[in-house]
Amino acid sequence: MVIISSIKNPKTISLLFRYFRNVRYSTNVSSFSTKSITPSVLLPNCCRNFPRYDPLVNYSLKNIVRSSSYCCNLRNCAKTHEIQASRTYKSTMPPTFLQKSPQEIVERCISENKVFIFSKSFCPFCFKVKAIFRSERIGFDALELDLIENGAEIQEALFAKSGQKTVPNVYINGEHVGGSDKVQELHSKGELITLLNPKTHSYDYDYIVIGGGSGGLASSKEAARLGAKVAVCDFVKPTPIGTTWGLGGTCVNVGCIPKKLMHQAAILGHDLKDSREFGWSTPEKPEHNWNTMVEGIQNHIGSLNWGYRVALRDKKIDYLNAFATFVDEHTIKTVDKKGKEKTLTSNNFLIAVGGRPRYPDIPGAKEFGITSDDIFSLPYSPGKTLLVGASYISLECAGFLHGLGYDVTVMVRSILLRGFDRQMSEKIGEIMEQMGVKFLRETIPTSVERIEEGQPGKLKVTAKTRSGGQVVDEYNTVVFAIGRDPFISELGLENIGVQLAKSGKIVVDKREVSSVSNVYAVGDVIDGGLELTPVAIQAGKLLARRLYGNGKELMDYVNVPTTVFTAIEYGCCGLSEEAAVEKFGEANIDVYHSNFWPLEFTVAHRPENDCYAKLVVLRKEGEEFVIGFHYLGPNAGEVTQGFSIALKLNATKSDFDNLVGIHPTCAEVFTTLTITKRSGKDVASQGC
Amino acid sequence: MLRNFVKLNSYQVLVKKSFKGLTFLPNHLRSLNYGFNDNLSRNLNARGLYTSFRDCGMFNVQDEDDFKERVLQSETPVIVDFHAQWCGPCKVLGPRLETIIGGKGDKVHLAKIDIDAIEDLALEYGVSAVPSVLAIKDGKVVDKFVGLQEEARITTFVNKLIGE
Repeated sequence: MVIISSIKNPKTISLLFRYFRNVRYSTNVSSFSTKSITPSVLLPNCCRNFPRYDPLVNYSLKNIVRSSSYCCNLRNCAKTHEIQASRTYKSTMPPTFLQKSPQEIVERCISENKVFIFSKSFCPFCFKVKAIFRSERIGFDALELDLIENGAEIQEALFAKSGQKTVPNVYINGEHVGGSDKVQELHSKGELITLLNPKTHSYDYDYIVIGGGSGGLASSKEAARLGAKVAVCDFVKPTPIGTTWGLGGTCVNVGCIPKKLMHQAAILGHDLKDSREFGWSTPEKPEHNWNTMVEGIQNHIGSLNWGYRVALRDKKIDYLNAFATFVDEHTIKTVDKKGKEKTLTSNNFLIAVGGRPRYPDIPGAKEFGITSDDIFSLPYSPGKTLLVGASYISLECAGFLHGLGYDVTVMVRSILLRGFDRQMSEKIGEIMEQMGVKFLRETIPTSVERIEEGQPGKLKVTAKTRSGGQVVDEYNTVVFAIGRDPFISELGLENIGVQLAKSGKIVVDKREVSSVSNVYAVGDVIDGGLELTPVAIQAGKLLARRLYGNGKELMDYVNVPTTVFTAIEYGCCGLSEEAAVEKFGEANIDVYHSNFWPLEFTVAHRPENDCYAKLVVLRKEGEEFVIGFHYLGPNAGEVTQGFSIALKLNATKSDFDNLVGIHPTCAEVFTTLTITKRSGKDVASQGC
Repeated sequence: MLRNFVKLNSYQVLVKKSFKGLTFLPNHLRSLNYGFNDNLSRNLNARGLYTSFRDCGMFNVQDEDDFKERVLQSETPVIVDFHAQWCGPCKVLGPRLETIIGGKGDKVHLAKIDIDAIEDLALEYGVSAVPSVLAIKDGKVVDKFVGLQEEARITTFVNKLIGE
């Protein structure tokens, strides 16, 4: 319980309750009588972080000026680390604001805010209007006239200006719109959005998105929904061996989607083996047909490509299957397959071209090697395969290829899964090794030669070890997965002076703006971002809302969950053990962990100690905050997705302990973690 | 594929004779492939429909101009089959359509459109899922269905178009 003693006004308290109505334990809050607890407010346990954000709360409550983003943020920010909108808002509304004359308040509210609602906190029509804006995901600011001392005078001044006496009184772009009925009418006609984005330039488009991947498509669709005139340029440069694909970007065509489906093919193979233990008469060595799998997967991808194409058409977004290059900061030149050129102009640009796999600079790499861009549509079975690199892409490919029955070797320069939790990464390596994937540690390739043509042919790979030794072996297929580079070298960024980081990626600020003010970037091309599809999607949507929907919310790159679909899946959210120790010091960090043996593994006699769960907690103010979640086991994506919201909401270890498990599941292990690493106790599962 | 290709060759000559200007690019060959599969040829031969198959209008639309000429300006009603190579149900529906339409003599034509080859046309006609089948009469869409349908349903659909 936390007591805030500075709030004396009962109206303020009721306002506070409204803010918190949607959070957990909200019934506890509203069950308090407002009168009985004046002048103090008792907040339930879940709101314990509330006082941390007092600058905002005090500001907001003292002045009773709030914006939609305040509402959202008060709900969220009690739990997250950043107050995003406050900066923008504060600059336009200093605390002394309400001491100005009513006329000036009205004028400034209207002129300094794109969408402004003069409102009353109890008025159902005001609720309705705000609900409309929220449903359209259009940001707004509001002044609650009943909660301020000079509210009546302001309403008078507003009447004098607009000729409307009642609230809500809505202004968009400085123009008087009207009350609830008018807003509803405009909304049903779809004209609200037109008012929001009047045309202020003479370019062909409001927004041209370069790159039709997850981030670009999401952003283009959101911008179009908000009334912007949008075009998307997408063009796939074929790989060295000529692989190409359709609209949708890496994830759909040569990433997440085919990867997960091939992973599923491998899981099914494993399940077929298990099924014998469960009484099924499956053949001892079930046969797998590579081409059937590839055809099935490619057919699905084909339908997704078409779906994206249709979605663009439905949203009236112009699609150009052409390669775009910047001519100046408002102009691009596009060249299509047939070499036909076009020049287009736009007010804003989004660079969302993503990345492509890197090839090592060794003889034969591009001629005979392939990458993840090729493997998912490979028209022949890959045979004995060498994967170069220890990225998640490499290990995932190794996982499914091994699961499909191929002889797989992974060549690793230094460590596995750089950037991920070390213990978990090494554990994945150990388990894959036990399964039969070969690892060549501290080795890098020096050349690839073809010794036999064919599908697949035969390749001779020469490599050197750190100690100076030489390793030579033959493989049918060599896959390079040593990293990805942003695909921006041919975009003509030098023509407009977009600043690049050392990594070769685009430098952007928190609003995803590059060094050129009308050129934005999201996804894998931005420096310091996360190379994950859902991150690009979210960032792209929020950007579009900020550009065309008066949005204020910034992309939150903290506590993003992810999963590596290796043979044994690994899901994580928050900090790795190392990062937590480095950030908060070893003394403040505890690690709760346990091995577990999924029920499904028991009858099938799968290993007892492959699966592992750990929570990294930060000890602070007598609580243990969970700041790292790590899970190695079946369905890691599903498990991690669910738990990640707990981290987003700053859950503590006791929240996990209080959670009732679902039995029998793997995820329930997180409700019963009692052993810390510090205790040194054994966490191995005990078999029969 | 190779086996089918050889089979296809024997039909190719006949089809080429029947439809002036029909060019066989690999892409179209592939989409035609399903229309000339074992099942169909067996059906056609068994029912003695081979001659009528040759005479009745069944063709792959080459481009938008071709569509205008042979579908929109056609005096005969046309069933338009929007299909894709990646679409499983299309591969089942195609032969069904051919069998049924083949049995109608010259009362109705069948135009096939690979949506990936002539994307704009598919988008213009609002094809959001395949197979999408339109019934076009005097240049206007008079009926449509989406997805794989039973033969009886297709027969009714075709009969309705030609007024039987």
